[in-house]
Amino acid sequence: MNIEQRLANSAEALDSAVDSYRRSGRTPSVDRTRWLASAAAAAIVIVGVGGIALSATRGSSVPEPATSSATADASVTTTVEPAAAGDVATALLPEPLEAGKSPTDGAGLLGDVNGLVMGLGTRNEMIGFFGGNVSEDEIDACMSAAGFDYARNLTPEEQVADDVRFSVSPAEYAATYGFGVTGWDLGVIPPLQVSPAEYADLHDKQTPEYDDTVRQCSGAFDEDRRAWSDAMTVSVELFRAAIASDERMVAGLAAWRSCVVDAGYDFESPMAMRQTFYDRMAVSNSAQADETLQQVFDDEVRVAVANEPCEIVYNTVQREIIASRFSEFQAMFDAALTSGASPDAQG
Amino acid sequence: MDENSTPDDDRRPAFALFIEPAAITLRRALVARNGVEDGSDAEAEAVAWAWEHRAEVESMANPLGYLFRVGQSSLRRERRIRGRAGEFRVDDYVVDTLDFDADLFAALRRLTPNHRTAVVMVHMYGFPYSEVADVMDVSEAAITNYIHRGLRRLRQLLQIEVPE
Repeated sequence: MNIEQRLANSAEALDSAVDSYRRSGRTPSVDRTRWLASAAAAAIVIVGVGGIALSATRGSSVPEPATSSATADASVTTTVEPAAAGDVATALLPEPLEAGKSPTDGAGLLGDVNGLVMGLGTRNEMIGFFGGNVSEDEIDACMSAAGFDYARNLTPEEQVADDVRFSVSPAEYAATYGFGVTGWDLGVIPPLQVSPAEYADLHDKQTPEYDDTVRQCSGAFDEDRRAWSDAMTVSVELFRAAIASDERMVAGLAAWRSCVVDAGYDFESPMAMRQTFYDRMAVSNSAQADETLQQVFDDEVRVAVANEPCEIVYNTVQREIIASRFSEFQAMFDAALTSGASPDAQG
Repeated sequence: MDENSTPDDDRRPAFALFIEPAAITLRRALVARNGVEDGSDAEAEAVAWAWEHRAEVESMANPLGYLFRVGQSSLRRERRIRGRAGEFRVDDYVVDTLDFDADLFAALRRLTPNHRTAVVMVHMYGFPYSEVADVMDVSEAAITNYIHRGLRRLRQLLQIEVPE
């Protein structure tokens, strides 16, 4: 047998070794817990926008029990006897949140828009946003009925508690973590904490069937939630454009830029400023790098510190404009929901 | 919410469609380069980073290459803490029932990381040269060179006649 054949014949052995390691239950490094936290947060947000409660009823979009789990690798999937499909259908659909916000509930929705449109969400607004999802109790019950042993996500409070942005002042954040761009790669920004046991638990269980069922149980495929999510996406884009062209915002951006120039820097916008560091980070990791990631980070901190007083004013302007024009957003949202607007059709 | 987040939350399933196969490619490349433990850890780091920075990843011309470097960067950080480099060790996790070519893996361990990554990705997993070049962020000519040298070294180590 030639060397190429021996290599080709060894692919399964190497893949199996990797799988064996991944299932070995070893204690992962602290940083690896980010994977779970990120995946959990992403999974929540996938359905989160639509998950913020509606008055709409559900009924037709029952998550099918994950019968495919029965054929999946038994070592990584079920520990609970799958329930009959009817049991899931009648009892375990994710319910709209009892204490949720309706699309016309201004206070809650304003918080979502602040967070979603401009990244301005406060701690409480973000708790409210995450809290708008299907509860972990409901997902757990639905997953159990579908035959999966569910690994729970963080609570909304835990998700926010881990976010260092909400535990230090903006000035302190800028001085310590810059914009939060390169600090992740350098390990400067504290990782989102999840217990190693929980991480290992999910890592072991996670299969395509498991993921699909989580999405189903979380309401991702629920038509009402999907319609709400589509309307939110469409209306937020429209509203974002309206805010950006508001003369107060234009003046605010000019004032921000002038403030930053006075501090010795010149960027077109706060987002463009951040993008500069993403770009430099990418280059710093390549063979063509002429600066280290640490150098990029140091520069990022300097710019962030200079920017911080400028951006606070800019963000205040944005918040004021959003609040003053919020009825427009509600109208945009209602129109999008009524017309069944799809973000895909927006182009 | 971080500055990467967008209101386009419905794009995230599409991102998941990208990252799931990408994660497999990344894992194989990072394991080939760093061994089972470090490679798997690096893949987890890279995928975590990708989720956290999905807006940026989606706009990248070569996201796999970037994420490969993210994984490598995470290992550099860990290795500084641990004070040692990882090894291309497979046998600790080999499933007994498989026909394990121990000599081959011992020889692979003695290749340079670049040579081993290219050889494993192309000849073990069957990735095209162009894709491996993207992941490793080098030219296809460099991959050709790595493979030529890697296979030659493997034949030497395994005492297989080296073709002219």
